[in-house]
Amino acid sequence: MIELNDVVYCRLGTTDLAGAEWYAVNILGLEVSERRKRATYFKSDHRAHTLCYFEGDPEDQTVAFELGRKEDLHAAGAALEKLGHEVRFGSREDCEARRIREFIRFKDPTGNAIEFVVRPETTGQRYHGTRDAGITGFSHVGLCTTDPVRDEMFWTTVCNARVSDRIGDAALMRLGTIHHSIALFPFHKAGIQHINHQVGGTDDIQRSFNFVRDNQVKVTFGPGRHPTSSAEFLYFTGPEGMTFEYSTGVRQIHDEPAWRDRQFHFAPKGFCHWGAAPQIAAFQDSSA
Amino acid sequence: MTIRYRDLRYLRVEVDDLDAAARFASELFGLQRADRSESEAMFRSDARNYAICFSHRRDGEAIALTVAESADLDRVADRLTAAGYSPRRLDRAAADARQAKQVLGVKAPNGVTVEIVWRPLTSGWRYHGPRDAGIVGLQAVSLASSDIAADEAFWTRGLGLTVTDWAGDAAYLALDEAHHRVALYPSARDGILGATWAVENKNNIMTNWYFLQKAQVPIAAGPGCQPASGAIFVTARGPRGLLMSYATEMDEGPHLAARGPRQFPDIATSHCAWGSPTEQPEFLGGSRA
Repeated sequence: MIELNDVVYCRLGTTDLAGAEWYAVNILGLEVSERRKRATYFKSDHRAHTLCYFEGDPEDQTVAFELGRKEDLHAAGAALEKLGHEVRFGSREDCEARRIREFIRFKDPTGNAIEFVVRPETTGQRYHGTRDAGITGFSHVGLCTTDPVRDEMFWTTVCNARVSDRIGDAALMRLGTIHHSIALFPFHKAGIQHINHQVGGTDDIQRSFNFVRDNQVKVTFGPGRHPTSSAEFLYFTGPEGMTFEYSTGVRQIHDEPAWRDRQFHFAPKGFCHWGAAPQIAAFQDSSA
Repeated sequence: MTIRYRDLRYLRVEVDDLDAAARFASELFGLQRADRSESEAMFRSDARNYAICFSHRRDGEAIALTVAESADLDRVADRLTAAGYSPRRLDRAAADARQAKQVLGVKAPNGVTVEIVWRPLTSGWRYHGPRDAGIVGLQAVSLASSDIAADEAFWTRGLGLTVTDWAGDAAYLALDEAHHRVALYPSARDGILGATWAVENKNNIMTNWYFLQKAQVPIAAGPGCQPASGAIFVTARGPRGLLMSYATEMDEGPHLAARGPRQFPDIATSHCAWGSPTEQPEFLGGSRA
């Protein structure tokens, strides 16, 4: 069993690095932590970076998870190879760019690019966004899956994810006590379906709703409240069509053995109990 | 001499089409239909027998405050007279129509009659709305005033309410521990601007917002958060432009009186901290009003 501690960063390719940086800073509210050749790194909490935009194919998207120790990483690499995954160890340059000690790279059964990393850098400097979006940190990702049963098995039996709830066949899975750190949404191709940042409270969700709308950014879902995690949310569109989410008040599951995963409708009422309807492809049609 | 008011009791609002107003209040907004006559339709929001009465009698608009004893009516009358206003007792028929034992009426500078009522009717049956809007009671009333200084003086020196906060020249007036029960807004017109109904929590604010949008009810303001009172609200436009709001989490307690009034700037964000869009001139602040 591969023990994942948390989700640590996303890497997104873009054909317009300057435009992506403008959006990340001025709309999303992240802080630039470092500019490198053909890549910009962004900070959302105490970590050195939690998002990277690089010059490249917008379909080139990676999500990374943290493992405890170097030995665990090597064991994970061996276990994945045994299962038939092609595993690559990151070069020193790649590690240095990511501000981590060591990592492996492979594809999950759907073909999503995944990195398992050890010792991602934490900084002494706190995050301070250009705009007051109230962000408290990068928190979870939605991943596309072409076979939800197979991929749920991968994350829950090869790795340590546990299913907290399901919306239709979309499994919301936890790694620690947070209701979900990974969510798998049925879709016709691989990719990151959405990137979530937590914000401080209701005021941040609602103020951002008006801010985002006033700036002609498309709000695709919300403001609403998830019946599953009880979090209040706002989804909106970012560079290259990526969906970003702010949420607050996510449920924590402390009594691990007592929690029973629940099945919700794959319909607006399974996604929002206030009555908002999603305009997000992967939330609308599971057979797409 | 200070007067203790028990509560903000009811509103009497003039409408053109009683059936349309009744449909808005019950089916769309979620108030419970109560007593109804040819010319009046009453609605409940809590234990009281009615909290709002729509009328097409053309006999003026009113809001009511409750006092504890009959003698309080005389005390209020004396205080108002001493301050230069002209209160008068309503006759038995008028008091019966208002479902109160005794009523003292006085006209505010903005033309709205304030009725001081003793022994208003409470229902033995609990409130049960036609849909689950989460309404728990009548929270506050908003008044429009073309002479804000005169109206503030009437409510404070005349009736004895206290100012909790100002946003520009808009004044929030308290009569109990709630941040305000009456809000006065400088306006191009005079009269009742709106009624605010307390709901259980912010889930009700947002579910009602989606419900109203689906029903194609115009949203006049919100969802928003009023910085002075902390209330989370959403406001619909009802019959004859009456602003009907849901609100929750309004600040309440003895700390408000101890703190004293604060002055918020005369700008739109003093009326909504979330920046929700509105075209209601009273909520835009002086720069736009």
